[in-house]
Order: sequence, then C-alpha cells, then structure tokens
Amino acid sequence: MSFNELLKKWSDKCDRVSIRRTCQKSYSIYMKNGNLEYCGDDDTMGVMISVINKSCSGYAAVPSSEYDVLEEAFLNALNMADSVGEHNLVDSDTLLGNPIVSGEYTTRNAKTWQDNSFEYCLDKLNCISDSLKGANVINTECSYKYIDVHTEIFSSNGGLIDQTLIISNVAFNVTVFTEGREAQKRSFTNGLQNGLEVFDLFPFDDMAKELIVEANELLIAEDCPKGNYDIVLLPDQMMLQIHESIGHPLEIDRILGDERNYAGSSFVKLNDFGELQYGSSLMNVSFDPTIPEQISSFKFDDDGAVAQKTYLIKEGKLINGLGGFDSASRSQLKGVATSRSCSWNRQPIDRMSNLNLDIGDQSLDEIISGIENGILMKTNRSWSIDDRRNSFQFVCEYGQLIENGKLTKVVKNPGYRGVTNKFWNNLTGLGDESTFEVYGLLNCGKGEPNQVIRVGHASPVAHFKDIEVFGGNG
Amino acid sequence: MKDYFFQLCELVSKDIDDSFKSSFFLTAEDSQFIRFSKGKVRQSGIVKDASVSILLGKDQKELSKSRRLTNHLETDVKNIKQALREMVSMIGFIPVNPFSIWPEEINNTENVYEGNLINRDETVKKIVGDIGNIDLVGIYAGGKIYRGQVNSFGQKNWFESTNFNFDFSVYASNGLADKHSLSGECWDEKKYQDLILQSKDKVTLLEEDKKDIVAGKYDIYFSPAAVTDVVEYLNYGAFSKSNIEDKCSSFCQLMDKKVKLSNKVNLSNIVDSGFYQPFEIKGFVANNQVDLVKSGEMVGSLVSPRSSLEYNCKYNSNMEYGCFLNLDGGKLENEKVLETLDTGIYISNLWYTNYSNLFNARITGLTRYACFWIENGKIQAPLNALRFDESIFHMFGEGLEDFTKETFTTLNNSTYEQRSLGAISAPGAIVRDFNFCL
Repeated sequence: MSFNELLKKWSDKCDRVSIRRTCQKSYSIYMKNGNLEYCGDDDTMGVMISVINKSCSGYAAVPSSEYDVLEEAFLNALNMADSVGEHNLVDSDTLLGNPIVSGEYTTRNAKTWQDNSFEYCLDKLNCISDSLKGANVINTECSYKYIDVHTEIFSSNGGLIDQTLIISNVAFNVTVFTEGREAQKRSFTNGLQNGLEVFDLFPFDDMAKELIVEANELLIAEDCPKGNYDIVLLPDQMMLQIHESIGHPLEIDRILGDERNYAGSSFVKLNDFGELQYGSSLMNVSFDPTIPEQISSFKFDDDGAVAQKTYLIKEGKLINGLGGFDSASRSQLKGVATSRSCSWNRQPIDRMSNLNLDIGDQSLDEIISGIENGILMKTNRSWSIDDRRNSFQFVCEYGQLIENGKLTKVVKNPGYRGVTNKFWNNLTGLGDESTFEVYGLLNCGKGEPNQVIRVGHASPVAHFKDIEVFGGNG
Repeated sequence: MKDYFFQLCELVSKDIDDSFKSSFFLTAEDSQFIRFSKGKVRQSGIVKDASVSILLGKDQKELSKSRRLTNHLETDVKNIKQALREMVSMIGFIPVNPFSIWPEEINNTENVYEGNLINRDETVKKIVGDIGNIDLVGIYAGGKIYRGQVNSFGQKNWFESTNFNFDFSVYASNGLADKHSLSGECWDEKKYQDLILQSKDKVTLLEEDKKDIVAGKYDIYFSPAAVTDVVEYLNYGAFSKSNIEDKCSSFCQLMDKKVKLSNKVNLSNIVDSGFYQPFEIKGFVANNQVDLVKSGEMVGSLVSPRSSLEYNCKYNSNMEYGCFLNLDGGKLENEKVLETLDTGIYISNLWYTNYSNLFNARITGLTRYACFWIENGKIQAPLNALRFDESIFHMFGEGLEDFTKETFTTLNNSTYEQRSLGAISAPGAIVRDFNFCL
C-alpha cells in the first residue's frame, strides 16, 4: 500500500495526518596521528507519522516502511493525540490552515559518493595528516563526514515535498607541546553543502601547515592581557558569536517558553519585535536559505513551508524571529520556514538554519589600521552563555595584539565577555566581500527530546569597541 | 527483542569467513516522550528505534557499518548481509590500524532491569492532571532501552532496562524556577506529588525581590545537582587516558602530581551499577570499579581497550568516559548546610559550563534556576543568573570545606539520538572563596 493510500485510509479517523520519511546515508573517516582509527558508514531510514485530532496532536516514529509497522504507528500517534485532551497547550487546529505545498529540491552540483569514494577520501585525509607533521607536534586528528539526507513529506491535505541535501564536513587539528609550557591546539572545521568536490575547493594541506606554525607561535606566546580593548573577530569566531547571541535568542519557541527546562529562554520579548535596537546601525542579519553551498540551504522546512531569504535585523533593529508555521501562528510574528527535525525520530522545532551577517565596506587592513589598541581573535575554543542568551564569555584559540594600527605580538588564551545587546551596539566596523566567509556546523543542540542539527553562519570580519578582554587567569 | 537480535546475528554470521573477526552491537529503545510547557502538553509521541553496528576486522584492519532494524527478519537479514559483503570487498584496501584490538576472553553477561512505569495512555493525566495552575515545563521520557552484543568468538551480551526520567522545572513569574529530575524504574506517585508541593513552596520564595551582588569571591553551597553538573562536565575528557597522554585533559597537572585536590575528594567509576551495560561494542567487559581520585590524588584514568594497546597498559573501561561516576559524600549533615555556609550563595544548578583555561582546569559557567543569597544561615533573597570563572583545583582543592554526608544519584537524561544510559552520584559541597565575574 502506498503512503498516499495509507493517508487516504487514515484520514477518516483523524482531522489531519502526515508522513515524513527520512533516509540518511553518512560516511565517516577519522585519523589520529596518521593512523586510520575509524572508517564506516551509517544507513538509516525511518518514518514519522503525525496526527491532528480534536485540536490535539500526537506522533509515532518507526524505522520501517512496512505496512503493519506503520499501521501500528498510526494508532500510537492517534492515541497520543487523544490522550492529551484538555491538557493541550497549542490548538493544533490552527495548523490545519497551513497551505498545501508540493515541490522538490536537491543540493546543486554535488559530486556524490561512489563505490570507490572511501579510497579517494582516505587519500585526501592522508595528505592532510602528512601536512600536520612538524615541530613539537604531539597529536593530530583529521576527519571527513559525507551526509546524504533525503526527506519526503506526504500530507493528507495533498502536499508532497521531496528534498535531498548533500553535506560535507572536514575537520583537522594539531596539538603542540614542550616541557614546561601549556600545550596549544589549533583547529579547523567546516560543514558545507558540498559533495566530494569540497577537497578541490580548499587548500586543506596548506591550511594544515599554517595551523602548525600558529600553534608553535602560541606555545611561546604570553597570555592575552586583561582590560577593555577593541576586538577584531575573524569569521570563524563570528560564526559562534552570531549563533549564540543572535540565533538562539531569536528562536520563537524559546521566547514562547517551550525550551525553558533545557536550552533556555530569551532576553528578547515578543513586544521587542519592531522596537528593539539589537545592535548598531551597521548590523543587518538575515535568515538565508539561498546560498547554495551553505549547510542549511533548502527550499522547504520539515513542516513543508517554503523557505526564502528574510531579514531579521535591519540596520540594527529587530524585525522578525526564527520560527516556523506553528510558532508564527502562536506569536503572531511573521516567522520564517525553519521548523526542522534532526531525523525521522524527532518532531520539527524552531531552528536557526542559515543565519548570516551582511558585509560592510572595509578591508581587514583598513579595520586594523584604524585601531590604536586592540586584539584580533580567531577560532573558537570555549563558549558559555546564560540561558536567556544575554551574558556570554568566549575564548579563542589564537590572538594577536593590534598596536597603533598594526598587528604585533601573538597572545595565547584570548577571551572576551559581554552582554548581547550592549555588545552588538558596540559593533564599529564590518569587513567587505574579501573578508566574508561561509561556515557551518553539524552539532547545534536543542529541544526535548534532544536534537542536534546542522546550522550555517556567514560573516565578514567584525570590529567591536570597548570590550572586556582577559587571558588564561580569567 | 533479545531473541530477535540473537537470531538475526546467527543468520547473518553464517556467511562470514573464519578469517574475519566480527561483532554486532544493538542499540534499541521503545520510548514515550511527552513535552510540557506552562503546565500543558506541547508535544506527545512514541519512538521505536533499533539499529545494529557491525564491525569487521582482519589483519589489524577494521571497518564499521550501522544499519537500522525494521523488525522484519527477512528484510533485516538481507540488509546486514549486503553490508557485510560491502565490508569484505572494502577491507583489502584500507590501511592497518595499529591499535585495533579484539577481546580474547569470552565474557557472557545478561542484565535485565524490569520497571513499573505509568500506562502510556495515562501519562499526561498522571503528570499534569492534578497539579493545579502552575507553570511546569519539561519532558517525560520513559520506556525500554536495549543493548546487545554478539561477536565471532561466540560471546553474547544482553542488557535491558525499563526506566523513566521526568526532567522538569516549575517557574515563578519572574523567570526563576525550581528544577527537578525525577527518575527511576518505577513511577512513585507520592514522591511526585511531594516534589510538586515542594516546588510550590520554593516558587513562593523565588517570587521575592531579587538581590543584586557584585563580582568577587563568595562562599558557596553547591547542591548535589550543581556538583553533578561539574562532575558531568569533567567527564568529557578529564579522566580519559588518551586525553591525558595528548595533553588534552584538564587533569594533566593532577596526574603529574603538580597539584593536589582536598583529601576529602574520592571519585570512582563503577561499571557494575546497573546504570549502564557492562560490555562494549566488540565484547570487552570492563573492571567493576576504577578509582580515579583518592584522598585528593589522581590514582587512575579510564583506559579503553584501544588505549591499552597504544600506551601499553591494562584496559579498565569500555570507553574513556565514566558510565557511573561516584563522588563520595563527606561529613556535613544536610540540615547543617545553611548554618555552616553562614553567609554566601546557595546554588541549585549550573549551566553551560566550559573551560576558560583547560591547562589550569579553569571553568566558566552560570548559575541557573533557584539560587539564593544566604545571610547568617538563612535564605534572604533569590538571585539572578551569575557568571563564575574558577579552577576545579580550587573548588575541589583548598576551597572545599566539606561535602554533605548524603549523596544523590541522577540518571543521565540525555536524549540526543536516543535515550542514554549512565548516572552520576554526588553530594552537595560547601566551597569558600569561589570567584564570580558576573
């Protein structure tokens, strides 16, 4: 029996039923000190059945497309919806009004996994591993993960979505050590919507060699000074800054209180939209699913809504939040199509997907030359932010002093702390196109039950004035 | 599930050539998840999931695959046989892994922990049917968890646990909350109702005017939940043999005897606790107990079978992560906690801990949920979230005054990918001169 026939059969027993089938194949290789430590793949397929009945919703998820298993799952989903009854938080009838959507999307121009791809990737990782050999090196790691995720959503309202995303994540790091000094680590990781061509797009071997040079600079460096300084954050640190202090606080389900027991809430209130000056007028932030190579570009979210580029912050003013059809309806905000699940066995919730900061008009040299006393920082090492996404403290791997408009001494343990709203209002300069980089990560955690999901952040270099900075002693 | 898994392994193993080593490892669950917000149901569902990790080894080479089980034997046998064929054809070209190690002894184990959970149709009613108008938010996760393992040496292991974890908080109108993690094998209605009553009282205290404090050093009482948060964070690598060797553990200086903790600190990992399966993916069965810190000195680390080969020592753990970490209690009676603290901060929970400096075991993070300012042994006012930045070497070193006599065991409530196993047992702690940077 086809999914559409099942939906037709079940639709007599409830107000709305949908089937979301997810097939994901992932291939992973991990090397430590040049030795192959893990080589394998994971092939998963599962189905989530979601039911709306008498204004309540319920779901059941199973790793099977077999008819008898799905039939039992439907009855479980219906039972779960019916058992909610008067204790329902959200009137699910509002979801019956979401539009009927059909369509397809596939990652553009990806070089897909073939029978001999393990050999190809092993060869590439071997080269990176070889490039990580050098003075004082005591440990190296490098890894590659290829993910092919295919989602189909069938709804009893007639909608049918078919979407395939191809993801690549390359990561490597090096630790150096000499007796009497603190070990130092430099690392690189990025997840993009690319296939195997990712190895042709970046000079990973050269990047690995550069990490060894920088790690050895850190090994003999002094601690980052303590005090208030201008800071210049490179895009691989801006990724984290955007993620923690813009992305999470703008998730509407957090603002509505659903995440208070785990991921937390937000300092942003519903009545701040259209009113709050989130940052300086240089700040323009968008939900952008349209950059083809960015990790969370897609055409449809997991509720079947159509995704399009939308500004959330314009000239520093907060104008929209990150929430799918459900949250938009509850909050009366416009929202965006970003209700997503990590796999077939979890329900969609509000995620940030791609959240990007627009470029400015200065080169990196121009930014540096305008700073009398500052610190450049790159690559996040440690992150911590309160449950309302307000008070944060981040530490980077690599720092360099800026003195009288020039980059000077390298410093280790560079950290900074601040409060979100004040920090973004101290944004003083943004790099131009030449400084703009696209990053993605695989492991943004949130939700109950817990989910990790892929999110992307693109940013230019950014300059913030008068920020509290510290070194290894806090 | 047990019979199904063992039968499946038998059917697929028939075709494996004797020159290969193989292992099959099952992770499965049948779980109910109900998410609450504002004392109502936000999402409600059932997840049934099962997957098998397949390991194949030959001549120090190793490959891994994972396949979902559909619960249709014919389909699952076909899928796993196909995976095995692919592995056999691949294993020739992959390089040798010098640290590939397989068990030489056969250790069969079987542990089944039965439970008595709420009937699934009644879970909503039991949890929010009678709580009145309170702002409860959280998640109930309950049902069966399965782990199984079969290898080509003839070893069979089985672990099955029926349990629940209701992780929730009750919020006051000012955004502060009273947090609980109620977990176990049997739902205890009275215990739950008592917790709700306690929460209502605590929320009344939290509604009082908040006090602001300035950055500086304060005396602290960390509740067992807050100490558990610290131990849980340390568990991400501090006790790992390979991390210590790679200088990536925050306890390197402790291991090298360059620092020492208070002699009141005794920490061990206990495998045979019932909170975690005693076997790993290939069939190694670890020691029952590994002492990590004894009288403040680091006396051991968690050595996986793989690390035992690289560092030429005996393995003592299925992984380099504690499955049931036990921090011994001290001499402080619970009822004497506030009096002993005298003036300082009562911390119920911590949040978002991370190293600000790994080498010095310096961690930052925030307080969360219900924290109070204490004066002369009495609660004075609730506090907003505060940021700390302090070394573990101080917190569990010269700063530690004492642990409470009573300890609390908290089941791992993580549900990333699947419901997790494991637990931590910890006491409360009074710590002097703890640094807040706010």
